[in-house]
Amino acid sequence: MRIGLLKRIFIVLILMLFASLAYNQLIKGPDYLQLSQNNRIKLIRLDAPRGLIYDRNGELVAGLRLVFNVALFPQEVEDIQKALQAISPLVGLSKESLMAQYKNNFSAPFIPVVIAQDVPKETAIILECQESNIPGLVIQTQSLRDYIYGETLSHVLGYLGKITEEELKKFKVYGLWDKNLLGRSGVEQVYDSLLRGQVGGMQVEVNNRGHRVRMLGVRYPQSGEDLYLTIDIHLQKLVDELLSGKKGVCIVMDPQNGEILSMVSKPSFDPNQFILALNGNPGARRIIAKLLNSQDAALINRAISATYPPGSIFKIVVAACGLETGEIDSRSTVHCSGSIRVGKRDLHCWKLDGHGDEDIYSALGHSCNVFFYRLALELGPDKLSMFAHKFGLGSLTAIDLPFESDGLVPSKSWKIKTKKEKWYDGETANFAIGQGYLLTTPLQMARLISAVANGGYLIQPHVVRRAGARVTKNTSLTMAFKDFTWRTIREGMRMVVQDEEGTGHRAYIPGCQWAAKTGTAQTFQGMAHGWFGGFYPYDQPRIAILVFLEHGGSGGDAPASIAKEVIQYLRKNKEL
Amino acid sequence: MFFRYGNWKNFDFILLAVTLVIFAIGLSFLFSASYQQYDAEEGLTLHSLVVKQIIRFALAFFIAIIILKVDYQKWLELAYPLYLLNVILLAMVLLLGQTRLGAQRWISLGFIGFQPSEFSKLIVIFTLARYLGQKENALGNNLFWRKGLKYSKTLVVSFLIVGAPFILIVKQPDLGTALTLIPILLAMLYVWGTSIKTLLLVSLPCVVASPFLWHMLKPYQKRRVLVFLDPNIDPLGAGYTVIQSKIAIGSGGLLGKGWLAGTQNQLNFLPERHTDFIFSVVGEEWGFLGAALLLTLYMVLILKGFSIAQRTLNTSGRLLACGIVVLFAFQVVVNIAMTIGLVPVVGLPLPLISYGGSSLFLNIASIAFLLNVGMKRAVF
Repeated sequence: MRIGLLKRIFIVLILMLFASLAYNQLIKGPDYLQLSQNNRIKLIRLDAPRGLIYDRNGELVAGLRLVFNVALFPQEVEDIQKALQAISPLVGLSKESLMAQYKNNFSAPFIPVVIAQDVPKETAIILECQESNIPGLVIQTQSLRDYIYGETLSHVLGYLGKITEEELKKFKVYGLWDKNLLGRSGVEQVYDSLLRGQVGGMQVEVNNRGHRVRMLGVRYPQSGEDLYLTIDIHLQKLVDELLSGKKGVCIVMDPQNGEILSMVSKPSFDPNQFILALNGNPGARRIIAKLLNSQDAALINRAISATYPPGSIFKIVVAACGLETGEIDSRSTVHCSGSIRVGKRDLHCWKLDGHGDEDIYSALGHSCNVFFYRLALELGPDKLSMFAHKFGLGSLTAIDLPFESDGLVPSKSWKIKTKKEKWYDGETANFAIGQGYLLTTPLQMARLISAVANGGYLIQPHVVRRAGARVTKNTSLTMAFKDFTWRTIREGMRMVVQDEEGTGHRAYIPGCQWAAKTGTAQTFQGMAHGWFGGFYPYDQPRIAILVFLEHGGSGGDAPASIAKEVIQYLRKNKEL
Repeated sequence: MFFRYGNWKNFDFILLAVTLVIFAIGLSFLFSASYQQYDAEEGLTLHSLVVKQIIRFALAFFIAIIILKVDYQKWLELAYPLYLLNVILLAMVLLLGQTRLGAQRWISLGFIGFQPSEFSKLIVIFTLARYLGQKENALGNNLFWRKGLKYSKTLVVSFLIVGAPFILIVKQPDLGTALTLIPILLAMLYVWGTSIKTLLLVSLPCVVASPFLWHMLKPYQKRRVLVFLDPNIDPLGAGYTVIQSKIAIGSGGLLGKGWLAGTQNQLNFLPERHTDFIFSVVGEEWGFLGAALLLTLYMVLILKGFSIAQRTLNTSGRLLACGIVVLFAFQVVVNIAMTIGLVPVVGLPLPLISYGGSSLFLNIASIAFLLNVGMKRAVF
């Protein structure tokens, strides 16, 4: 009948609804369940406080500063205009700029929005009292990195910077997000993964407006591990003052285990400015912009990243090469008349009237060029090159700081390969006095001095003693030279300081024995680079020091004086 | 006592029981949908919502008893005056009705407001049943022009009976309710005896006119149709409701998230969840089993209704029963299909469950008339 047809039509329609329900709920059910979970469960990140950094004596050098931020909790704000009107005079910022901040920083209704950062404590207290009058107002605390000694330790500590897009992708698995700061240089960068700790989070259930309904779970952040440096902050301060206004480097290290007691590179910068700049401090932003555009390259740690010709300090390598290969012994002498003919040119000693008869001791003591020209020409460049490599030149020291350079040790084959030219004897002579193609970092030279002081161990320098529970191991490579070689070189270096004719006699300290080697590397323009590398005390050395002044003149002058002051300070204060 | 006039034996108790069960299930989900009181500004509280619905049900039940006490033939006699009154009320709504949710559907009678358009559905059924019942049965006459002017006049009048309220309701605008009138008209004409060919022929002008109708739609109605075709064109606007409704139903899975535990519902992701989208709450909290149970109950009710119509010999009674069942079934099918995203969002409530007084009165009254017809059939 006719009604029967109607009935069948509706039965078919209802069966279609059954089928559709079954499809949506049974087959597509899991997908929709996921969608409904995404709807309601949101994650709020909780940042971990960054680890603290102490010096070797347990003095805090990089801490955390508690700052107060004014924030609005969007889901509780009743009238944004009224709230900003009330807050504006208290924080001394215009309503418009607060509104701009609010719009800029807004992420979700259930996450408080910071509208004014780092307000004075008094303001924070006044606002805290107003919390009940201004719905949605929240005073948040935040811990910011605080570099207590500012410029003094900047190159060792490094600074913090905003996470980049690529890093964000890489570190997403660790829960990092775009508000996280990462170490950009120094130990902040190398030990970043330890220092930053583990980000925590709060899972909250939200409703359709994104308002927080309840908390589902929380994982508290784990604060980062603390670092203990090998640096002595008081020594560092002294060295920093000694170098102030100059361009250069001073490295003080323990030649026995490679611990860096002080590493100063000048000019330097104040890492606190980066933190302030990130927080929108206009003054700090200007300072950073100036730093980045300046010719001084203050952000570069010259101790490890810049390479220079080492000058006469390299004579230590030539001497070691001569002694080890048997080319000379302690009795071999060379007559220095003030110059020597190499090829078609006369090469001069720095002392134009000559040193007379020189043996290896006095040659080192007086830094006689002619002696080392002769010796180097006998040895040939490849042997010199080989010994330079044995002393760790041309390769990284593997110090726990970023952006280290490896420098350059030339050789015959290197020259043919890169310059398409054969090696000249004149270049061998230049090589012997640490000039020409040879380039080293100040740290490589400090390690070289340490090797002489400790009797042939190429130690791995480091600035962190302990990172969390991890104690840095002292590692070294033995150079396996004869004891006699080291004794001879040390004696020559002792003369540099102790002998009245020594090039480093300016560093002489009455009543104490120590040894050093000066270097003065000619530059194409401006004053020569001055080097001074020494160890103290002469017997059982405990300090290796390297001073380098960019265009600082003769190594025996200003660098020697600085080194002397450092040693005197250490004698007085550290019972050495 | 109450059922003095008719045959007690013919009273369909199963139909009544199913109605009560559906209403009870509906109440529990009304409770769930208003359990969390997020809509502070809308003032919907648990107390007012469920209690109001119960009070309305009690009132509707009382009305149902009155309906059952009087022979439906007597009620049919009231059809024409009621029709006139309804058209006047619809016109009044347009002139001075209250605007709620962007449409003028309400008319205020002092302390209560009601939607005349809701009652138009039933009154149109009554009017058609009375009108067609008086005319000669058209069965066996495939081509109406053979019967001449008299037959085609009946068709034209039937269209006019539906057309007047249809246009007034579309104007409110309440497309959902207006569209309900079309299947009612077609079904009743068909049952009266009009051939499918004739119906198609008569409907043809409407199909041809539909592109012009598109331009008559309000912007929000156009958007709904477009969003139906692709809900993702506007996921936070017009498409939001459909997407959230599908997520709610789908995420219910086989067993559901549990009563009062549907996250889409309780966290307010589901708009209109106590009215047009209450089926989504059922689907989310009771899962496929619960939704299927409810659908089965509706199916039982609809089949029972059709069998009453089939067993009724009186043409008016038969047409009345048919109209009521088609009205009821159409609302159920379209409402549920809408929550699963099978048809565009039109404002049709789920009978017996969606919150709302007019709709509840209409549906209880409809079922009462259906029972009334069912009781009377043995008299003939």
